[in-house]
Amino acid sequence: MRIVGKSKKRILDKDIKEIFSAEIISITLSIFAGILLVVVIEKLYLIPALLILLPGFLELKGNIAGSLSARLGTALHTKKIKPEIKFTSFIKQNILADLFLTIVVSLVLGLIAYGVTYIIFKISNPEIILVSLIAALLAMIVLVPLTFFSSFWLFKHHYDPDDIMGPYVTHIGDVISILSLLLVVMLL
Amino acid sequence: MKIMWKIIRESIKVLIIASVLSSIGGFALKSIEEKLIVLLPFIIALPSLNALVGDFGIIVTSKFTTFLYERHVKNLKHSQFVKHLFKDIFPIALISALYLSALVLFASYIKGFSLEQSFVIKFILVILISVMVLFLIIFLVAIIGGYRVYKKNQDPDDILIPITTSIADLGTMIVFSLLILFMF
Repeated sequence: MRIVGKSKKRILDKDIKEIFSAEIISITLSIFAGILLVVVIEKLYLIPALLILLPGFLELKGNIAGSLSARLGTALHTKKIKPEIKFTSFIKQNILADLFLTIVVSLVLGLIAYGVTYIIFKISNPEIILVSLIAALLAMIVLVPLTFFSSFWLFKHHYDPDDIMGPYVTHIGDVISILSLLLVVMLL
Repeated sequence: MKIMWKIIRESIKVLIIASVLSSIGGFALKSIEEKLIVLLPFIIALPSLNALVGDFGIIVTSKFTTFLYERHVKNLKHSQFVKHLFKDIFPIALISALYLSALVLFASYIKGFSLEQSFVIKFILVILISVMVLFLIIFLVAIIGGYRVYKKNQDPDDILIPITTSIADLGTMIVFSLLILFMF
């Protein structure tokens, strides 16, 4: 949203269009996450801690992949990086940092869900820690490369990743997160 | 490894706080568990609503951060950028909330949920009020917080995005749960 002289209105309009279309497409896609949730909700109720884990788990991908996409957007705009998939130090370090954060935060989420269920509901279900860790890693393994490719592709095609990547990451992330959670619950 | 440690150092504390806050949101959800099973459209709406409010946190923070780095925002109080950002994004949030409501009601109808007029009105109101209240809170936090973080030579992207998305998450669960409790 560059507010500079005569071109201000045109660029603002472009921003609004980008954000609005990204939101509409993302909402439409993420309704599938909701329908998926209706399908798996009975399975989720079978594991008591899962409902406590769910909000934090859904938020995790927004926090980590959302921050990653915002950092990429800033780096692309300020010409710190080029929109090319090359394993530069910047990209490697971003991937490693995101993996590290995913492992730590998913463990914390799993421990909180376990602790709360044990203390309040007197149910011991240590499986929930493993569910949180494996499902988060699965989701991020898909989501992190997707964030890189999409940000670079958008920037190359003259779209502003700041406008589009936020909705894209969170809504696609919802579908991926619920699928990975379901997969892990079914496997364990 | 300088960038990696900078990202970890700046993000870890705030991400852990965000996890704790989200788990409180989980409590709110658990407290309306029985109502939630009966009210199918709310289960369908939950991930989208959560993500929708969080999106605006990410959009506002990332755009504001880019402009801070490009030195377009010098005085926060008189910044035209902030005014334009609000004026442009708030209507999008409202239209998106209406679209979300319509789509969820349609999906629920397809799944066999019987839609009564009073339910439809209450449902749309719950979604609209949740989005409006949370958007205003998130906008203020992203702008004021982003400016302060930037002044401390830290990256607002790393700190403000987890904060705004966790406010979105916790706020959505609380406002959503309260409205369902009062209205249904």
